Amino acid sequence: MAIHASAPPHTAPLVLPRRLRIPRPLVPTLSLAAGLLLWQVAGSVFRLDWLPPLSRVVADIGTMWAQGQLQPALSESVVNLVIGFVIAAVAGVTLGTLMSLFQKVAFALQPYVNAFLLAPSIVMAPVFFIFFGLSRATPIAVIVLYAVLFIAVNTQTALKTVDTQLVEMARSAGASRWQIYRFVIVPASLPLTMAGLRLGMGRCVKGMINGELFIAVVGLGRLDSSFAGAFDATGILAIMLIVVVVAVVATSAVQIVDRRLNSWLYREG
Amino acid sequence: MASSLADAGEQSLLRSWRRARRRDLLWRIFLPLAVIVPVALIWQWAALRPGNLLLPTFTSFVTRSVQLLFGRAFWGALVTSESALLIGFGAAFILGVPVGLAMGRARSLEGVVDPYLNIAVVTPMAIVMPLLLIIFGFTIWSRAIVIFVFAVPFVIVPCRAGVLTVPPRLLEMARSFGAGELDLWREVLVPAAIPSIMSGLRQGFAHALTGMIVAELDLLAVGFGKLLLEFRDNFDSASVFATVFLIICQSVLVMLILTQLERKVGASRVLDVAGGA
Amino acid sequence: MAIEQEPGIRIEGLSKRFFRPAADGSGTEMLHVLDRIELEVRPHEFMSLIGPSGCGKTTLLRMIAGLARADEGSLRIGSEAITGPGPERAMVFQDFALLPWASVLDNVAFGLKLRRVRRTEREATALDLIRAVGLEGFEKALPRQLSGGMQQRVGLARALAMDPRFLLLDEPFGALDEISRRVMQDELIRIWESDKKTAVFVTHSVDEAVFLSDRIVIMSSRPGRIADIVEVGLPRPRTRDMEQDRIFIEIRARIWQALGL
Repeated sequence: MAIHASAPPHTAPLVLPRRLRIPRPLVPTLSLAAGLLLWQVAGSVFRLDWLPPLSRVVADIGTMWAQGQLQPALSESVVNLVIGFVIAAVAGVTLGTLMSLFQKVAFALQPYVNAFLLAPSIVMAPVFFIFFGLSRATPIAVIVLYAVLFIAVNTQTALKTVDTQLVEMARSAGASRWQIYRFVIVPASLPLTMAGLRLGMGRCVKGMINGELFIAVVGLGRLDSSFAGAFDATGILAIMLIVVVVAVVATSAVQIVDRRLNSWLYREG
Repeated sequence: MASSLADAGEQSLLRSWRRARRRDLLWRIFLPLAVIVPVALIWQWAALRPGNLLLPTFTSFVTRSVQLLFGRAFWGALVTSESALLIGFGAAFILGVPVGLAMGRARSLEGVVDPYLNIAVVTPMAIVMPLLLIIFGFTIWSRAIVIFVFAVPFVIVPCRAGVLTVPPRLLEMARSFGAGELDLWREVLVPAAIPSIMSGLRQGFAHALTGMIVAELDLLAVGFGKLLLEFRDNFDSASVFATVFLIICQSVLVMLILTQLERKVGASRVLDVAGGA
Repeated sequence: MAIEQEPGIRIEGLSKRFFRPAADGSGTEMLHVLDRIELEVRPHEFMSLIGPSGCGKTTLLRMIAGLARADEGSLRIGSEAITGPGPERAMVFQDFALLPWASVLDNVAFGLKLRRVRRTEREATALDLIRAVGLEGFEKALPRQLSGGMQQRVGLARALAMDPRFLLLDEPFGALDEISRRVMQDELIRIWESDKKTAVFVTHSVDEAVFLSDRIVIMSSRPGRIADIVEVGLPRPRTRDMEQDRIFIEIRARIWQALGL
């Protein structure tokens, strides 16, 4: 590869006016820090009703924690999230596998799967409420719906788009249909399936919040509604911050698991 | 002699291939419809069992759907809901596209902007709603703003990606032929980004729909949300099911149109590797 | 001797350094991509730059094109310094760099469009060139419908459409298979010999350089310097049987030797 006269722009370090070179990997973190700082300053200086300074919000979180308000709410929400994700993952992968294995099943279900993917999943919340009422099952059902079809379609695509050359190679080596499935198709489809699961977790988090806000009886949703009712901007922002952290942590966790699994898999292969 | 034999062979191959395609198409139409029958039967049976309070019968669900479709309540709600949708999503698209494109162009700012975009994409925007309520109060504008907030990250991100993935070689080539910044935008960046813009249109709209529903269920009981909550409070589960069904149908219809649009535009402008890498 | 002497390219003391993290992890190392290059490209000559990877030949070409800047030294056309891209220099790229969504006609007319030439005029010019490179009938085709060789013809036509004084070619046939490559070399030499624009041609292939060029600049890497300049004393127009000529073989051997192989 010919050496370029200068490094391609998107790997070069960020050069600020006074020739301050910040290494690329640090930029996002610093940017976030700058944003938080801006929040703090704006909140202190402008004294808006709806923008308390970051420090006050953090203090509020601390108080809520100390008073034991947060823990049950958080734990309820997170438990729902995990249960929902597991159900969605298992059901989704199963459904996707079935749809890729049996063409008739795919034909029969595809329109419904696509329809529910296109429509906003939250619209089914009232229906779940009719079935499950005020129990935990309603938010879990919403969480499951948010992710299951997405995971199913991703799994289906992953299985269908395995390199045909590999399949041919296995067949020419005398593998049975079952062996081809186990030794070629499943490993080859893992990256895309994992990607679907990772994105599915993101959708689960959205389902968790959207569902809980609607029900407003469990977890973070309940807290949030009470703050909203009381026009407590600090409380609202506190929950927002927590939710953002939960969402980012959950998605990153799945991303890390995804990466580990893939590198382990490919080292084996 | 031999050629007509070969032709006959080819003809019969073509015929059987066509027959197979037609057969596939028939299955594709028949099977989904066939699925409805057992579902309807089980549903009806479950609803008619003694001790069932919640599930509406399949028949009442169908009846109610037809009634609503031809009644005024549903369409009135639709107008209320969709007007906020148009305003909110319209703004999200009109603002989001240029912002997204500009972000893509400012490559050096990629790291600065990334964390915020990632957070916006991963975070459920519903959590922002109570805050918006405090700031903007209970008006059609607050609904539109909720919809805007839901949709705009998903317009910005694809547009940005569309510009980021333009092969630098194409920009360099254009510069070598004397292109200025405006020329670059007009001749290379925007044409290259059109498929991504269409994708942003579709994704943004999907999230705008969610925002519309969420705003009405949680924030401000008007339009669809009002209908749903009313029916729910009256324990009119058949109407709830029917309304949900109609909303789903309508969403699917619009999204299908947008998806087709995206596909058509994307297909005519494939950015393939050989020409651009 | 022409009364009006057309300018060539004069390169003096040209240097370019590049920093990168050292391979052994010991910090940053400095690479002399180009080290005080002195070169003159004569008008109407076909000059090749050849050398191993990293010898700076592509960097040098990009500097002539105005796409890269030197750290030291000067690059001049006649008496004027090169500060950026210009209409008198047109480039042909190794990976074709065609606009994927534009037809062959629009691609060829691209440079003219940027120069605000009117549509009827630029399309006429483009059609002429499409014919000249042998792509008649493909005016409406999209790049992805064309083979590599055909795509590069479009690239060549696009460059020629600018009627540049200098034609700069960056390993234009590097992405082609051997057969297409040979066909394109014949095409290029045919088109070039009818016009004799000054050409600077970067290549990896010794045979290609000898077949096409008047002079060959052999470069070495680390640091990037000119190792030797060879005159190709073969008559024009060039024909394939010259490849068996003793002169051809001698020049080829000399180049391999200069490359240290």
